Amino acid sequence: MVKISVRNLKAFTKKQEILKGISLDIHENSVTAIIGPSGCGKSTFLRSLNRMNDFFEDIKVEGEVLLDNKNIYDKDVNVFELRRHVGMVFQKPNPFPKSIFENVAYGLKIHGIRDKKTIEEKVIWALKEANLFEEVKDKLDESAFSLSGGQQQRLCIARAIAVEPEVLLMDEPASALDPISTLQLERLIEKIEKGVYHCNRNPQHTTGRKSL
Amino acid sequence: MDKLTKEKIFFTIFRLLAFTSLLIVLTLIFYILSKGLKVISLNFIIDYPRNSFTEGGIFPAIVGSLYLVGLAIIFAVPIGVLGGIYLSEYTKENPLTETIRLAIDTLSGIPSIIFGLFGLAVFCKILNLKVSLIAGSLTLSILILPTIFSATIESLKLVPKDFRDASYALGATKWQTTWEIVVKTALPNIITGVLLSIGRAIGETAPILFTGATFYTRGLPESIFEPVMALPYTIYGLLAEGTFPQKQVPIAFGASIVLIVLVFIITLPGIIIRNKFRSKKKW
Repeated sequence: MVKISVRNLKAFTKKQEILKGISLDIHENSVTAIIGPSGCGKSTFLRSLNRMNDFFEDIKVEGEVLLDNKNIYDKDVNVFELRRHVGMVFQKPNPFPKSIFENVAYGLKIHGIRDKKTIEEKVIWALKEANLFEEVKDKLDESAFSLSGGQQQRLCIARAIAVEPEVLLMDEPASALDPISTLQLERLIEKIEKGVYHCNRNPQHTTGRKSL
Repeated sequence: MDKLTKEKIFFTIFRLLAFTSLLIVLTLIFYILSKGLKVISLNFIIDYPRNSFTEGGIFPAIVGSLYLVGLAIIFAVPIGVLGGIYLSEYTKENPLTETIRLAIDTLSGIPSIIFGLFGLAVFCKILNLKVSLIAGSLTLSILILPTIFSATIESLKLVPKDFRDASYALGATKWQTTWEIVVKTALPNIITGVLLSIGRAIGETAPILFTGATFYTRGLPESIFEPVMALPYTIYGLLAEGTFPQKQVPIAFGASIVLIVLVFIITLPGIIIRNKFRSKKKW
Protein backbone atom coordinates (compact mmCIF):
# COMPACT_ATOMS: atom_id res chain seq x y z
CA MET A 1 0.00 0.00 0.00
CA VAL A 2 1.28 3.43 -0.84
CA LYS A 3 1.24 5.58 2.28
CA ILE A 4 2.68 8.80 0.96
CA SER A 5 2.67 9.77 -2.66
CA VAL A 6 4.78 12.75 -3.61
CA ARG A 7 3.77 14.39 -6.91
CA ASN A 8 6.00 16.89 -8.63
CA LEU A 9 7.10 18.47 -5.36
CA LYS A 10 9.00 21.71 -5.73
CA ALA A 11 10.47 23.89 -3.04
CA PHE A 12 12.26 27.12 -3.65
CA THR A 13 13.47 30.29 -2.06
CA LYS A 14 13.70 33.60 -3.87
CA LYS A 15 17.25 32.77 -4.84
CA GLN A 16 17.20 29.09 -5.76
CA GLU A 17 15.15 26.02 -6.39
CA ILE A 18 15.85 23.46 -3.67
CA LEU A 19 13.56 20.60 -4.75
CA LYS A 20 13.08 20.35 -8.48
CA GLY A 21 9.89 18.41 -9.05
CA ILE A 22 10.21 15.23 -6.99
CA SER A 23 7.76 12.38 -7.49
CA LEU A 24 7.91 9.18 -5.51
CA ASP A 25 5.76 6.68 -3.64
CA ILE A 26 6.55 5.67 -0.09
CA HIS A 27 5.07 2.36 1.02
CA GLU A 28 3.50 1.33 4.25
CA ASN A 29 5.44 -0.76 6.78
CA SER A 30 8.77 -0.10 5.20
CA VAL A 31 11.81 2.03 5.73
CA THR A 32 12.74 4.45 3.02
CA ALA A 33 16.14 6.07 3.10
CA ILE A 34 17.18 9.22 1.34
CA ILE A 35 20.83 9.68 0.54
CA GLY A 36 22.64 12.65 -0.88
CA PRO A 37 25.44 15.14 -0.33
CA SER A 38 24.94 17.81 2.28
CA GLY A 39 22.94 20.78 1.10
CA CYS A 40 21.10 18.84 -1.60
CA GLY A 41 17.71 19.31 0.03
CA LYS A 42 17.15 16.12 2.05
CA SER A 43 16.00 18.01 5.10
CA THR A 44 13.84 20.35 3.05
CA PHE A 45 12.20 17.32 1.46
CA LEU A 46 11.55 15.64 4.81
CA ARG A 47 10.23 18.83 6.32
CA SER A 48 7.85 19.24 3.42
CA LEU A 49 6.24 15.90 4.33
CA ASN A 50 4.94 17.21 7.67
CA ARG A 51 4.84 20.87 6.69
CA MET A 52 7.59 21.92 9.06
CA ASN A 53 8.71 24.15 6.20
CA ASP A 54 5.74 26.34 6.99
CA PHE A 55 7.96 27.99 9.60
CA PHE A 56 10.43 29.19 6.98
CA GLU A 57 8.80 32.17 5.39
CA ASP A 58 11.18 32.29 2.47
CA ILE A 59 10.56 28.68 1.40
CA LYS A 60 7.68 28.16 -1.00
CA VAL A 61 6.38 24.66 -1.70
CA GLU A 62 4.52 23.57 -4.83
CA GLY A 63 3.14 20.23 -5.92
CA GLU A 64 1.31 17.59 -3.96
CA VAL A 65 2.06 15.34 -1.03
CA LEU A 66 -0.70 12.77 -0.69
CA LEU A 67 -1.00 11.09 2.68
CA ASP A 68 -3.57 8.32 2.31
CA ASN A 69 -4.65 10.03 -0.92
CA LYS A 70 -5.24 13.36 0.78
CA ASN A 71 -3.06 16.30 -0.20
CA ILE A 72 -1.53 17.67 3.00
CA TYR A 73 -1.21 21.11 1.39
CA ASP A 74 -4.97 21.42 0.93
CA LYS A 75 -6.52 24.38 2.70
CA ASP A 76 -8.80 22.24 4.88
CA VAL A 77 -5.94 20.22 6.37
CA ASN A 78 -5.38 20.73 10.10
CA VAL A 79 -1.61 21.02 10.16
CA PHE A 80 -1.35 20.17 13.89
CA GLU A 81 -3.37 16.99 13.36
CA LEU A 82 -1.14 16.21 10.35
CA ARG A 83 2.05 16.47 12.42
CA ARG A 84 0.58 14.15 14.98
CA HIS A 85 0.27 11.53 12.27
CA VAL A 86 3.59 12.32 10.63
CA GLY A 87 6.12 12.53 13.45
CA MET A 88 9.68 13.74 13.23
CA VAL A 89 13.04 13.09 14.84
CA PHE A 90 15.71 15.71 14.33
CA GLN A 91 19.39 15.69 13.54
CA LYS A 92 20.48 16.96 16.92
CA PRO A 93 18.83 15.32 19.95
CA ASN A 94 16.45 17.97 21.25
CA PRO A 95 14.73 16.77 24.41
CA PHE A 96 12.72 19.36 26.31
CA PRO A 97 14.18 20.75 29.54
CA LYS A 98 11.83 18.49 31.45
CA SER A 99 12.10 15.11 33.13
CA ILE A 100 12.51 11.96 31.07
CA PHE A 101 8.92 10.99 31.83
CA GLU A 102 7.53 14.43 31.01
CA ASN A 103 9.36 14.50 27.70
CA VAL A 104 7.43 11.49 26.48
CA ALA A 105 4.21 12.47 28.22
CA TYR A 106 4.16 15.93 26.63
CA GLY A 107 2.85 14.75 23.26
CA LEU A 108 0.09 12.76 24.94
CA LYS A 109 -0.92 15.67 27.12
CA ILE A 110 -1.15 18.19 24.29
CA HIS A 111 -3.45 15.81 22.47
CA GLY A 112 -5.85 15.84 25.35
CA ILE A 113 -5.01 12.65 27.22
CA ARG A 114 -5.54 13.49 30.88
CA ASP A 115 -5.84 10.08 32.51
CA LYS A 116 -2.64 9.54 34.51
CA LYS A 117 -2.74 5.80 34.19
CA THR A 118 -3.09 5.91 30.41
CA ILE A 119 -0.25 8.40 30.15
CA GLU A 120 1.99 6.28 32.33
CA GLU A 121 1.26 3.14 30.34
CA LYS A 122 1.92 4.85 27.02
CA VAL A 123 5.12 6.50 28.23
CA ILE A 124 6.49 3.16 29.40
CA TRP A 125 5.39 1.50 26.18
CA ALA A 126 7.10 4.18 24.07
CA LEU A 127 10.29 4.00 26.12
CA LYS A 128 10.34 0.24 25.69
CA GLU A 129 9.73 0.58 21.96
CA ALA A 130 12.66 2.97 21.78
CA ASN A 131 14.92 0.47 23.60
CA LEU A 132 15.46 2.98 26.36
CA PHE A 133 13.25 1.81 29.21
CA GLU A 134 15.76 -0.53 30.88
CA GLU A 135 18.33 2.26 31.06
CA VAL A 136 16.05 4.91 32.51
CA LYS A 137 13.41 3.03 34.49
CA ASP A 138 14.89 4.08 37.83
CA LYS A 139 15.27 7.75 36.96
CA LEU A 140 12.19 8.76 35.05
CA ASP A 141 11.97 11.93 37.13
CA GLU A 142 15.47 13.09 36.31
CA SER A 143 16.19 15.74 33.72
CA ALA A 144 16.43 14.50 30.15
CA PHE A 145 19.75 16.35 29.93
CA SER A 146 21.28 13.87 32.35
CA LEU A 147 21.21 11.30 29.54
CA SER A 148 23.98 10.70 27.01
CA GLY A 149 23.57 11.93 23.43
CA GLY A 150 22.52 8.51 22.16
CA GLN A 151 20.04 8.05 24.99
CA GLN A 152 18.66 11.53 24.35
CA GLN A 153 18.09 10.67 20.71
CA ARG A 154 16.29 7.45 21.65
CA LEU A 155 14.24 9.51 24.10
CA CYS A 156 13.30 11.80 21.20
CA ILE A 157 12.20 8.73 19.24
CA ALA A 158 10.18 7.52 22.22
CA ARG A 159 8.62 10.97 22.42
CA ALA A 160 7.77 10.86 18.73
CA ILE A 161 6.24 7.38 18.75
CA ALA A 162 4.28 7.95 21.97
CA VAL A 163 1.61 9.80 20.00
CA GLU A 164 1.49 6.81 17.63
CA PRO A 165 2.27 8.49 14.31
CA GLU A 166 1.62 6.64 11.08
CA VAL A 167 4.83 7.92 9.54
CA LEU A 168 8.07 8.77 11.30
CA LEU A 169 10.48 11.11 9.58
CA MET A 170 14.07 10.97 10.77
CA ASP A 171 16.44 13.66 9.67
CA GLU A 172 19.96 12.19 9.99
CA PRO A 173 19.15 11.00 13.50
CA ALA A 174 22.58 9.46 14.04
CA SER A 175 24.78 12.24 12.75
CA ALA A 176 25.51 13.59 16.22
CA LEU A 177 26.04 10.15 17.76
CA ASP A 178 29.02 7.90 18.43
CA PRO A 179 29.30 4.54 16.61
CA ILE A 180 27.81 2.47 19.44
CA SER A 181 24.81 4.76 19.82
CA THR A 182 24.44 4.73 16.03
CA LEU A 183 24.32 0.94 16.07
CA GLN A 184 21.67 0.98 18.80
CA LEU A 185 19.69 3.47 16.76
CA GLU A 186 19.90 1.30 13.64
CA ARG A 187 18.66 -1.71 15.58
CA LEU A 188 15.82 0.42 16.79
CA ILE A 189 14.92 1.46 13.25
CA GLU A 190 14.93 -2.20 12.19
CA LYS A 191 12.63 -2.99 15.09
CA ILE A 192 10.28 -0.18 14.18
CA GLU A 193 10.23 -1.39 10.57
CA LYS A 194 8.98 -4.77 11.71
CA GLY A 195 6.29 -3.06 13.71
CA VAL A 196 3.46 -1.00 12.41
CA TYR A 197 5.57 2.01 11.67
CA HIS A 198 6.39 3.51 8.45
CA CYS A 199 9.72 5.11 8.78
CA ASN A 200 11.63 7.46 6.65
CA ARG A 201 15.16 8.10 7.61
CA ASN A 202 18.23 9.63 6.27
CA PRO A 203 21.28 7.53 6.98
CA GLN A 204 24.01 9.84 5.83
CA HIS A 205 26.16 8.97 8.81
CA THR A 206 24.80 5.55 9.47
CA THR A 207 26.11 2.61 7.50
CA GLY A 208 24.91 2.09 3.96
CA ARG A 209 24.72 -1.62 4.64
CA LYS A 210 21.02 -1.74 4.32
CA SER A 211 19.64 -0.65 1.03
CA LEU A 212 16.20 0.18 2.10
CA MET B 1 59.27 43.19 26.15
CA ASP B 2 58.69 39.47 25.83
CA LYS B 3 55.22 37.95 25.76
CA LEU B 4 55.37 36.49 29.23
CA THR B 5 56.28 39.75 30.93
CA LYS B 6 53.56 41.50 28.99
CA GLU B 7 51.03 38.92 30.13
CA LYS B 8 52.13 39.29 33.73
CA ILE B 9 51.88 43.07 33.65
CA PHE B 10 48.42 43.07 32.12
CA PHE B 11 47.03 40.38 34.37
CA THR B 12 48.33 42.25 37.39
CA ILE B 13 46.54 45.38 36.18
CA PHE B 14 43.30 43.46 35.58
CA ARG B 15 43.53 41.83 38.98
CA LEU B 16 44.06 45.18 40.68
CA LEU B 17 41.08 46.65 38.85
CA ALA B 18 38.89 43.72 39.88
CA PHE B 19 39.98 44.13 43.48
CA THR B 20 39.32 47.85 43.30
CA SER B 21 35.66 47.33 42.56
CA LEU B 22 35.41 44.83 45.38
CA LEU B 23 37.22 47.30 47.64
CA ILE B 24 34.78 50.09 46.78
CA VAL B 25 31.78 47.91 47.64
CA LEU B 26 33.35 46.75 50.90
CA THR B 27 34.30 50.30 51.88
CA LEU B 28 30.77 51.48 51.19
CA ILE B 29 29.21 48.73 53.26
CA PHE B 30 31.72 49.20 56.06
CA TYR B 31 31.11 52.96 56.12
CA ILE B 32 27.33 52.59 56.27
CA LEU B 33 27.59 49.88 58.93
CA SER B 34 29.95 51.94 61.07
CA LYS B 35 27.58 54.91 60.96
CA GLY B 36 24.30 53.13 61.32
CA LEU B 37 24.78 49.82 63.08
CA LYS B 38 24.41 51.38 66.53
CA VAL B 39 20.76 52.29 65.94
CA ILE B 40 19.80 48.88 64.56
CA SER B 41 17.64 46.88 66.94
CA LEU B 42 14.38 45.00 66.79
CA ASN B 43 12.62 48.17 67.90
CA PHE B 44 14.16 50.11 65.04
CA ILE B 45 12.42 47.78 62.61
CA ILE B 46 9.02 47.37 64.31
CA ASP B 47 8.54 50.76 65.94
CA TYR B 48 7.10 54.03 64.66
CA PRO B 49 9.25 57.16 64.53
CA ARG B 50 8.92 59.36 67.62
CA ASN B 51 9.96 62.80 68.89
CA SER B 52 10.22 64.40 65.44
CA PHE B 53 12.03 61.38 64.05
CA THR B 54 14.86 61.53 66.57
CA GLU B 55 13.85 58.30 68.25
CA GLY B 56 11.85 55.19 67.57
CA GLY B 57 11.96 53.13 64.42
CA ILE B 58 11.25 53.15 60.73
CA PHE B 59 8.50 50.54 60.57
CA PRO B 60 6.11 52.64 58.41
CA ALA B 61 8.91 53.35 55.92
CA ILE B 62 9.67 49.64 55.53
CA VAL B 63 6.00 48.79 55.10
CA GLY B 64 5.50 51.76 52.76
CA SER B 65 8.38 50.69 50.55
CA LEU B 66 7.02 47.16 50.37
CA TYR B 67 3.54 48.48 49.54
CA LEU B 68 4.89 50.73 46.80
CA VAL B 69 6.97 48.00 45.23
CA GLY B 70 4.31 45.32 45.69
CA LEU B 71 1.69 47.39 43.91
CA ALA B 72 4.16 48.44 41.21
CA ILE B 73 4.84 44.76 40.54
CA ILE B 74 1.13 44.00 40.31
CA PHE B 75 0.78 46.69 37.65
CA ALA B 76 4.01 46.13 35.75
CA VAL B 77 4.49 42.35 35.67
CA PRO B 78 1.37 41.37 33.71
CA ILE B 79 1.91 44.13 31.15
CA GLY B 80 5.66 43.59 30.88
CA VAL B 81 5.65 39.80 30.78
CA LEU B 82 2.57 39.30 28.59
CA GLY B 83 3.60 42.18 26.32
CA GLY B 84 7.07 40.71 26.03
CA ILE B 85 5.67 37.27 25.19
CA TYR B 86 3.42 38.80 22.57
CA LEU B 87 6.16 40.86 21.01
CA SER B 88 8.66 38.03 20.99
CA GLU B 89 6.44 35.10 20.04
CA TYR B 90 3.45 36.47 18.19
CA THR B 91 4.78 39.26 16.03
CA LYS B 92 7.18 39.22 13.13
CA GLU B 93 9.87 41.80 12.78
CA ASN B 94 8.39 44.82 11.09
CA PRO B 95 8.77 48.58 11.44
CA LEU B 96 6.08 48.75 14.12
CA THR B 97 7.61 46.11 16.41
CA GLU B 98 11.05 47.59 15.80
CA THR B 99 9.70 50.96 16.91
CA ILE B 100 8.16 49.43 20.03
CA ARG B 101 11.48 47.81 20.88
CA LEU B 102 13.34 51.05 20.32
CA ALA B 103 10.84 52.84 22.53
CA ILE B 104 11.40 50.28 25.29
CA ASP B 105 15.16 50.61 25.07
CA THR B 106 14.87 54.38 25.17
CA LEU B 107 12.53 54.23 28.16
CA SER B 108 15.01 52.17 30.15
CA GLY B 109 17.64 54.86 29.59
CA ILE B 110 15.54 57.78 30.83
CA PRO B 111 16.59 59.17 34.25
CA SER B 112 14.18 58.23 37.00
CA ILE B 113 13.46 61.86 37.95
CA ILE B 114 11.76 62.25 34.56
CA PHE B 115 9.46 59.37 35.47
CA GLY B 116 8.79 61.22 38.71
CA LEU B 117 7.75 64.35 36.83
CA PHE B 118 5.65 62.29 34.43
CA GLY B 119 3.91 60.59 37.35
CA LEU B 120 3.29 63.94 38.97
CA ALA B 121 1.75 65.34 35.81
CA VAL B 122 -0.31 62.32 34.79
CA PHE B 123 -1.24 60.39 37.92
CA CYS B 124 -1.25 63.11 40.56
CA LYS B 125 -2.66 65.97 38.50
CA ILE B 126 -4.55 64.73 35.44
CA LEU B 127 -5.96 61.59 37.07
CA ASN B 128 -6.21 63.55 40.31
CA LEU B 129 -4.74 60.80 42.48
CA LYS B 130 -2.72 63.43 44.39
CA VAL B 131 0.39 62.32 46.28
CA SER B 132 -0.62 58.78 47.14
CA LEU B 133 0.46 55.19 47.38
CA ILE B 134 -1.33 54.42 44.12
CA ALA B 135 0.25 57.32 42.21
CA GLY B 136 3.71 56.43 43.54
CA SER B 137 3.41 52.76 42.68
CA LEU B 138 2.03 53.51 39.22
CA THR B 139 5.04 55.75 38.60
CA LEU B 140 7.38 53.02 39.84
CA SER B 141 5.62 50.48 37.65
CA ILE B 142 6.32 52.60 34.56
CA LEU B 143 9.93 52.85 35.64
CA ILE B 144 10.40 49.07 35.87
CA LEU B 145 8.16 48.17 32.94
CA PRO B 146 10.92 48.46 30.29
CA THR B 147 13.26 46.31 32.40
CA ILE B 148 10.66 43.57 32.78
CA PHE B 149 9.77 43.86 29.10
CA SER B 150 13.37 43.52 27.93
CA ALA B 151 14.13 40.74 30.41
CA THR B 152 11.13 38.79 29.13
CA ILE B 153 12.03 39.26 25.48
CA GLU B 154 15.69 38.37 26.05
CA SER B 155 14.75 35.26 28.06
CA LEU B 156 12.38 34.06 25.34
CA LYS B 157 15.00 34.63 22.65
CA LEU B 158 17.35 32.36 24.60
CA VAL B 159 15.00 29.39 24.24
CA PRO B 160 16.48 27.29 21.43
CA LYS B 161 14.52 26.85 18.23
CA ASP B 162 15.04 23.09 18.63
CA PHE B 163 12.53 23.00 21.48
CA ARG B 164 9.90 24.76 19.42
CA ASP B 165 10.55 22.43 16.45
CA ALA B 166 10.23 19.36 18.64
CA SER B 167 6.95 20.59 20.04
CA TYR B 168 5.47 21.47 16.67
CA ALA B 169 6.61 18.15 15.23
CA LEU B 170 4.48 16.40 17.85
CA GLY B 171 1.43 18.26 16.61
CA ALA B 172 1.38 20.99 19.24
CA THR B 173 -0.33 24.26 18.45
CA LYS B 174 1.35 27.63 18.71
CA TRP B 175 -0.43 28.27 22.00
CA GLN B 176 0.67 24.95 23.49
CA THR B 177 4.24 25.39 22.30
CA THR B 178 4.46 28.94 23.59
CA TRP B 179 3.07 28.22 27.05
CA GLU B 180 4.13 24.66 27.72
CA ILE B 181 7.62 24.83 26.28
CA VAL B 182 8.88 28.32 25.51
CA VAL B 183 7.55 30.27 28.48
CA LYS B 184 8.22 27.45 30.94
CA THR B 185 11.81 27.23 29.75
CA ALA B 186 12.30 30.99 29.94
CA LEU B 187 10.55 31.38 33.28
CA PRO B 188 13.61 31.26 35.58
CA ASN B 189 15.22 34.07 33.58
CA ILE B 190 12.00 36.08 33.53
CA ILE B 191 11.61 35.72 37.30
CA THR B 192 15.21 36.82 37.77
CA GLY B 193 14.56 39.89 35.64
CA VAL B 194 11.48 40.74 37.66
CA LEU B 195 13.27 40.31 41.00
CA LEU B 196 16.18 42.48 39.89
CA SER B 197 13.74 45.15 38.79
CA ILE B 198 12.07 45.03 42.22
CA GLY B 199 15.49 45.49 43.75
CA ARG B 200 15.94 48.57 41.63
CA ALA B 201 12.46 49.95 42.27
CA ILE B 202 12.67 49.70 46.04
CA GLY B 203 15.76 51.88 46.15
CA GLU B 204 14.49 54.59 43.82
CA THR B 205 13.78 57.97 45.38
CA ALA B 206 13.13 60.27 42.44
CA PRO B 207 9.98 58.61 41.03
CA ILE B 208 8.18 58.66 44.39
CA LEU B 209 9.52 62.05 45.48
CA PHE B 210 6.56 63.99 44.11
CA THR B 211 4.09 61.19 43.61
CA GLY B 212 3.79 58.87 46.58
CA ALA B 213 6.20 59.44 49.41
CA THR B 214 5.92 61.60 52.44
CA PHE B 215 8.40 62.24 55.21
CA TYR B 216 6.24 61.35 58.14
CA THR B 217 2.95 59.58 58.77
CA ARG B 218 1.43 58.73 62.09
CA GLY B 219 0.47 55.23 61.21
CA LEU B 220 0.33 52.93 58.24
CA PRO B 221 -1.70 54.11 55.22
CA GLU B 222 -5.34 53.14 55.47
CA SER B 223 -6.03 53.30 51.77
CA ILE B 224 -4.10 53.40 48.52
CA PHE B 225 -5.05 57.06 48.14
CA GLU B 226 -2.92 58.17 51.08
CA PRO B 227 0.76 59.06 50.84
CA VAL B 228 3.20 56.61 52.41
CA MET B 229 6.62 56.70 54.00
CA ALA B 230 9.34 54.97 52.03
CA LEU B 231 12.89 53.99 52.95
CA PRO B 232 14.85 55.91 50.32
CA TYR B 233 12.75 59.01 50.84
CA THR B 234 13.16 58.72 54.60
CA ILE B 235 16.92 58.57 54.19
CA TYR B 236 16.84 61.58 51.92
CA GLY B 237 14.55 63.52 54.23
CA LEU B 238 16.56 62.83 57.37
CA LEU B 239 19.83 63.82 55.75
CA ALA B 240 18.64 66.80 53.74
CA GLU B 241 15.96 68.32 55.89
CA GLY B 242 16.48 66.90 59.35
CA THR B 243 16.65 69.51 62.09
CA PHE B 244 18.45 67.32 64.63
CA PRO B 245 21.37 65.91 62.65
CA GLN B 246 23.15 64.34 65.65
CA LYS B 247 20.23 62.03 66.24
CA GLN B 248 18.79 61.79 62.75
CA VAL B 249 21.90 61.04 60.69
CA PRO B 250 22.47 57.69 62.46
CA ILE B 251 18.80 56.86 61.85
CA ALA B 252 19.31 57.62 58.15
CA PHE B 253 22.29 55.26 58.06
CA GLY B 254 20.31 52.64 59.96
CA ALA B 255 17.57 52.97 57.37
CA SER B 256 20.22 52.55 54.66
CA ILE B 257 21.31 49.26 56.22
CA VAL B 258 17.71 48.08 56.31
CA LEU B 259 17.26 49.10 52.67
CA ILE B 260 20.39 47.27 51.54
CA VAL B 261 19.38 44.14 53.44
CA LEU B 262 15.88 44.36 51.95
CA VAL B 263 17.24 44.66 48.39
CA PHE B 264 19.52 41.73 49.11
CA ILE B 265 16.66 39.59 50.42
CA ILE B 266 14.53 40.39 47.37
CA THR B 267 17.22 39.81 44.75
CA LEU B 268 18.73 36.75 46.43
CA PRO B 269 16.13 34.27 45.10
CA GLY B 270 16.73 35.72 41.63
CA ILE B 271 20.44 35.11 41.92
CA ILE B 272 19.88 31.59 43.24
CA ILE B 273 17.41 30.75 40.48
CA ARG B 274 19.76 32.12 37.86
CA ASN B 275 22.73 30.16 39.13
CA LYS B 276 20.71 26.98 39.38
CA PHE B 277 19.41 27.54 35.88
CA ARG B 278 22.89 28.22 34.50
CA SER B 279 24.39 25.09 35.99
CA LYS B 280 21.57 22.99 34.57
CA LYS B 281 21.55 24.60 31.16
CA LYS B 282 23.00 22.25 28.61
CA TRP B 283 21.86 23.41 25.24
